[in-house]
Amino acid sequence: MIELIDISYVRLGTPDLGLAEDFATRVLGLQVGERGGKSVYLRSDRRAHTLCYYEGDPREQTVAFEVRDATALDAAAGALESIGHPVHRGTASECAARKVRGFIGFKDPTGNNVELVIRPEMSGKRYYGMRDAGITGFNHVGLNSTDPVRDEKFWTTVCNARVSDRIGDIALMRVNAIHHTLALAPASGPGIQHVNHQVESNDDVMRSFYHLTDHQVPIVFGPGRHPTSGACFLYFRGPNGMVFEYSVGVDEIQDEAAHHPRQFGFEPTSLCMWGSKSNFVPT
Amino acid sequence: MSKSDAVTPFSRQPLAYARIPVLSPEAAARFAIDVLGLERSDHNELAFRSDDRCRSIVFTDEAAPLAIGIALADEETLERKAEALSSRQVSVTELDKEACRSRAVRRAFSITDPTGHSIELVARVELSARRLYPLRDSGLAGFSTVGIRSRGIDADVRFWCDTIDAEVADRVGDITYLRMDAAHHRIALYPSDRAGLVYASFAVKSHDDLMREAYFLEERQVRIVHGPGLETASNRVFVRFQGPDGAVFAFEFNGNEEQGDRRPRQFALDRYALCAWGSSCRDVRELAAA
Repeated sequence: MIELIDISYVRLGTPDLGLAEDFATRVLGLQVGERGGKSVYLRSDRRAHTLCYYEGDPREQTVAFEVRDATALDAAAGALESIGHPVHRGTASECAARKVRGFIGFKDPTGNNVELVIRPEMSGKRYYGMRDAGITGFNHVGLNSTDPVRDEKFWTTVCNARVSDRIGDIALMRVNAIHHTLALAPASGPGIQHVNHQVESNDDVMRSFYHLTDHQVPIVFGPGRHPTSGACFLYFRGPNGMVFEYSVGVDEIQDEAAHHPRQFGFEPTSLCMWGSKSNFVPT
Repeated sequence: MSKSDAVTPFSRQPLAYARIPVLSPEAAARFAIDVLGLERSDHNELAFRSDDRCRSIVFTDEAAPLAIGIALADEETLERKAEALSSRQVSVTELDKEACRSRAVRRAFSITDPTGHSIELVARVELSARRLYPLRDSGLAGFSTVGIRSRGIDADVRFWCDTIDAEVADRVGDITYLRMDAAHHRIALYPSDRAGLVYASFAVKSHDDLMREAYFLEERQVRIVHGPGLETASNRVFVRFQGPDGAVFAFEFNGNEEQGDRRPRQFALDRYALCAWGSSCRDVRELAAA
């Protein structure tokens, strides 16, 4: 079994690098860690980067997870190939472009680009966002799924993800104590449904709600509170239609043995206990 | 010494009730039940309760002035207060038995603030033994705060502090929050060119309740005039909305309320001094920063 220990970064292609950087810093509140010729590395916590925009097709969207070491990485490659998932082994320059010491790339059953990495770079310099959004770090992604039942099986049997809760057939899955690191979202094709950053307090969520509203950033869901994870949230749209989320107060599941996934109905109140309505229209 | 541990002239719940003049009492009554989630407490009058007390708000004829009931600790305190005010040439009127019955109090004296509101000093506020169980699950905790207009802020602040024994908690510009118990404030005075209520506010039990109320109001197409927001000076979460006849009501959550024995702070009058989250109010001049 492939043991994922944490989520590492998201890589997004964009036709307009300047616009993407402007949004990521001025609106989202990330910090530029490094600017390459055709890419920008953005920081949200102690890591050297957690989001990379590069010049390219915006349909190219990749999420990366960390595995323990080179042995685990080799074993993961073997396991994926043995069940028919072609594996790309990262070259030295590709590793440098990801600020990791080794990685493999593959597609999940829906066709999402997934990378497994070892030794992602940390930074000694304290993260200091461009605006006071209260960000404490990159936390999780929503991942498109053309068949949530099949994909749940992949992430929980080929990998070590555990189901924390389900809304209808949609599984919210964890790879560590955090309620979910990976949330499946029903969709017609692959892609990242949303990128989550945690903030310090509910006040930060609400301040951002008014700040983003002032700046005409489309709010797609919230402010609200998820009954599953307990988190207060705000979803809004960034460049190329990508949805970003701020949230705070995600439950932690410390007692693995005692946790039993809860089943919520597939209805609006399962997504927001306050009554906000989702306006997640895929673009 | 703070009002919470000093010998205070006020009852444990100093803000007793508000008698609010309205143009269409029936519409106001429907709003009180359907939207505010209050419970009607008297079938002869448009009186509503929001907590263990028999009255929180009463809708009165539009010709009557806004009246705010302030509960003193006991009848002796009330009598002493009335005598003291009379001796200072303040015009004090004792309300008759029928007026007391209508207010669900045992004794009441009426005085007038400089702006022209009727301030009713009362004692022995009646409680209902029956547990509050309103029609909808709004998480109501009880009548908490009123915002009132002031035509002359200095005179009104002097009146509340010298005549009623309230204390200035904080100021935003000339907006003045007045403390009467452990809560940050029970009365907020807003400079204006006219008299009347700015809002009557009901506390709810949790932050979740407050946000649920905000979405409930949106769904019911009630016009939200301010919030959801975080009142900077008090650290209360609020949502303020339009009732019938232009009356504004509010829900607030006081769980992280600012309390403190300290000198009143002065905030500059800007949007963030009125809402730390950055919400702004356009519809009610007194609640807008600019």
